Amino acid sequence: MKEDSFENQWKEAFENASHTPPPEIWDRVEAELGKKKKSGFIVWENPFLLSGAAAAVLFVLGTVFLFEHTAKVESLSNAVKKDEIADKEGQEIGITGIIKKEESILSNEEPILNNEPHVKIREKSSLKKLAVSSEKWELNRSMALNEDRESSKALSSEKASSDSHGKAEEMLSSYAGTLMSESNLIMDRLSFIPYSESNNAFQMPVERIDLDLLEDKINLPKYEKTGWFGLVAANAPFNPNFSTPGLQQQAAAAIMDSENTFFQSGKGGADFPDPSGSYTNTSRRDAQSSFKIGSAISYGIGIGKKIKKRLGLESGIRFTSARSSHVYNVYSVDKVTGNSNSFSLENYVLPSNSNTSDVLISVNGSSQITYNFLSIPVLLNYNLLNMGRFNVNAVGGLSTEILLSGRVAHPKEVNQSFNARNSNFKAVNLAGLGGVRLSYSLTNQLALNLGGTYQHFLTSGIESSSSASFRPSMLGLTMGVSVKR
Amino acid sequence: MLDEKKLIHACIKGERAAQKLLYEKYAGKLYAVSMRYMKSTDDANDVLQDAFIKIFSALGSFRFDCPFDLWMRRIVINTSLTALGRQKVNYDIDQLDRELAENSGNIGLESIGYNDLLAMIQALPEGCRMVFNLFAIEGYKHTEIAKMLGISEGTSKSQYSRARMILMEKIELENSKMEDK
Repeated sequence: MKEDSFENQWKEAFENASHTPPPEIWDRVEAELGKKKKSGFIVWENPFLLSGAAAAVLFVLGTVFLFEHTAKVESLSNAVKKDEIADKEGQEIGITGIIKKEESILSNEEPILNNEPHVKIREKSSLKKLAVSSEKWELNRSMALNEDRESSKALSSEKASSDSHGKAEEMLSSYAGTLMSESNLIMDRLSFIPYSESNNAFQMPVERIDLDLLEDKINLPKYEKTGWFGLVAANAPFNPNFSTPGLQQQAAAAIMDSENTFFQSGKGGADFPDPSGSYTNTSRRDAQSSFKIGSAISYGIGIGKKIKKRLGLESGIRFTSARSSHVYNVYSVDKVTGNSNSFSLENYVLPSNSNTSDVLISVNGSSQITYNFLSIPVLLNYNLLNMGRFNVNAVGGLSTEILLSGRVAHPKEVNQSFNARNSNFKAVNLAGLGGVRLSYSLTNQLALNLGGTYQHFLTSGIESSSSASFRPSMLGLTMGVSVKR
Repeated sequence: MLDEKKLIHACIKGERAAQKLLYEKYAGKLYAVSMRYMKSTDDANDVLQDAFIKIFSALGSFRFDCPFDLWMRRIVINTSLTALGRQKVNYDIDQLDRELAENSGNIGLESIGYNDLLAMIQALPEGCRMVFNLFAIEGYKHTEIAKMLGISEGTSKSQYSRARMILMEKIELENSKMEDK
């Protein structure tokens, strides 16, 4: 009692204090009110419009992404077709050139240089194949030509020339075909590369072929899998982090202000709240209100794009439904209808259609609160580890959380629905999130994802005019499947 | 009570005359609250202005389930705390201060005038002033104050003890002056 007297004296001294403000303050308030009325954008005030707009933006971005991808593939496909046609023509010229060259060698004429065939390989993996094929080609070609030489001794020059032409042509055609069919390589005709005649006039400059296989000389448009889209689902414990500071003081003040603090009979009055635990004491220390940890489930789609070797950007759209229970013993009561609700919900956030002006402290009651959010995350991912089919990525960024709707389910009362327009909950909220994701590539295109993510509201989900704070957090598992494109 | 409801509904509709009436009805009491939290009159004026803009904006969400003046008072307190939050508040206090302030008894505050008491509160360091107002006058608990101000419960208690000690010294001085007279 002694200890309280200090506070009580101060409280009494200032309880009904009044201080006349300067007259210009009203003018300033009035001016601000005039400005405020003009501002405001309808989309921001309507969460459904806002979520629709967000979905439309995402759809357009996704379409642009897919369209760009398709265009790239088509241009690549066209480039390959053109090359194939050019190669075919070049091949014909090239092989003819070789035959002509062979002819010139056999007839001791100057070699034809202009149509010298060279092979350019566009796939690194095909290098070995081509090298092996080239060696075979050279060996068999030498054997064929040596054979021709020997036979040329026995036969007349004209006959020998004719036979060797046939054999060489057959052999070259066969190996050119082998090269094309076995390795399935994209071949290109090179610009002129001088033919150097070695000691063995019949040796092809094999080194040149090998040198020309360098990948970096090729200007073909590169394409690799740099994007993905997929399905995402998450399940997490949901902590509403709902705090209602000053509840006891306000409840006590409200009780004292109420005309009748005792629960009266009325609709539902017989069983709720429990008559045996009806209000008896106005001590503010007795007021209780706690928001328990519940669970949340979310699912949606995601898209991602690689922007650097290890760095990627991803987004998506998800629907999150979170549920938690609220336990309380302070009620706002409509003594006419008998309807009651949690005082903290009525007082801080939720609308009431009835006149629940009476306040009552009674036995504990509970309700289930469900929140439905539309989430649009924008995240950066960083590849931490790459082990064969496994990839480990760190993911972090921001998420726009749009409150679509909510519901308070009372065990014995009419359920209450709420949204940002008829409550103090904000329509648009910002959350930070981060985590780690493990990906397992099933195929070259398909991957399974499993990860742990922590998400926390950066701003309170309740209007600042209310002293309550709502900063939900979720720590849980995310899983999904993604298709690389 | 009914008149007040009508007045509030008229304010929600944006009727300027009703808004002015509501302002005139409550501005004095709310201004006294902002004066307690803010050190200077100018700051208190700004808080009152911002608070009324918030009140008129959020009036639609008021559901008549708690006293209207309490609801408005809460807005003024929040606005004051937000304004003070923009300033860097130093909560560092020597442990000694806290111990000295324990178990002080009845102080005979009634003999000192309102303006002198207000001046005493306004002269408190920022941190002490906020905690003192919230704990002693508004009736918040230290756990709640800690959450509201983003400080630890221990810091809240220390700040309060220091405020109490400073105020007691001033009250004693004031009382001794009056006795001398």
